[in-house]
Amino acid sequence: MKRNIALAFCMILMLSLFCGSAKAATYSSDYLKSYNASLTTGNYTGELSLDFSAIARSSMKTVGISSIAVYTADGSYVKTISGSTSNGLLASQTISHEGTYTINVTPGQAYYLRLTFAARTANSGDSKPYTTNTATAAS
Amino acid sequence: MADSKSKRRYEDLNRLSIEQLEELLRTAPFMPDDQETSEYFDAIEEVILQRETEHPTGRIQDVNSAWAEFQEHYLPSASGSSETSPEERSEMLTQSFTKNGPYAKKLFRKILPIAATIAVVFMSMIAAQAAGVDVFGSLARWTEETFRFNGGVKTSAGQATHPQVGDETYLAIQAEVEKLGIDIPVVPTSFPDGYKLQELKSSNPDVKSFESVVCLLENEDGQSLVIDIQKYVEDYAISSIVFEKDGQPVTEYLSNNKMFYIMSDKNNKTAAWSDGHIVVSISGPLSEETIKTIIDSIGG
Repeated sequence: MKRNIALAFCMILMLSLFCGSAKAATYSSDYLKSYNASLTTGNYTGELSLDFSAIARSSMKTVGISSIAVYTADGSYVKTISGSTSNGLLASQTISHEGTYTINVTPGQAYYLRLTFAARTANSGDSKPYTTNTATAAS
Repeated sequence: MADSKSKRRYEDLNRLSIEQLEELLRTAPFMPDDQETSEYFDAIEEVILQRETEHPTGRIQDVNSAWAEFQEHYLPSASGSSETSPEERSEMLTQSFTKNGPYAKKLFRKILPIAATIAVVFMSMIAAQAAGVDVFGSLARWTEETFRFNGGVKTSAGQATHPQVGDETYLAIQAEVEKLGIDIPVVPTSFPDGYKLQELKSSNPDVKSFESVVCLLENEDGQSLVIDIQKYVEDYAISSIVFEKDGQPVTEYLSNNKMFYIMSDKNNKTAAWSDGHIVVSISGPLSEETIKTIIDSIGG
């Protein structure tokens, strides 16, 4: 009797391991292949430096960072910066974009950024949220 | 209550010698799934063990001696039978186990829970791997949406030799990669038919934390193949790189000492490798077989 219960328990446990794989949701992106960013202390007082890279799946009308939301390390919202080709956060008619962007904030305070990576063709596109590491503004 | 009842039932066993008890073990009928039979065997074994503890005779020796004794007593036909064919040996073993059915079945019953536990642990590791934890390699982690390398884990990247290949696409990419100071083979030398180099982007000098080469190849149908090679500074958190993927399982593919992770993203496949410092990725609307061929071509 005990053995049967133990065997039944083992079977249930083993079957339960496969339950997760039944969920085959599809996320992914037809436009963005990969992206990354790193926030560091800037060179001058009150500066943060953001290095970033976005690689698309094919040549895009625009690719890069479409917006940056700045937060203090404790989660307080500070400001939003919109990405454009003129400020260097977006590049046009290319497969990828990488760059460095400087953000001015309060010296000596720690911040993190919530970025939106984007890749757009003439008709459609996709964007993905991304949260950076925390870094302290140069003092 | 049940134990004391059982002890009373088999207390006559105490009057028998060890030889007689062993004979009982050898000759007693065995009924599968019979609780009473099981208790009977346990009672005999308990008496033998008790006697041996009180008056050691050396009958119960170390594992090796016990195994040799077991073979000598219970598998006489199977031991030292170098002249016996494997088929005959197998048959003899089967006969021996049939003859010594109670022991074999008892052993099987004892091993079963251990085997089940091992199976569950092993299956858990596989499930964890499938769920995105690289249990066996600890080099990467992934979810149903994204894939990331773990930082700081180095793998063998192959020898610093470059293949002698005349392919123009390869030579163009390789020339840019050499500017990054990468001296190990990372550039494919074979590309799918019909794909031609459309864009070759070298690093942005303003970016200090990494350098890269990004290549776009296209075929006549407008399908794109993207190959990118990035080299990061020593303390860069390589786990910050996000690869987009769908919910399909990630395949690990070892080629020329490089462990590539092949992931699916709707109609695209992406293969990515990293040694914690350099990251290579190949992506396009390719079959897994084709992307493996491209991977295999790295290094010539």
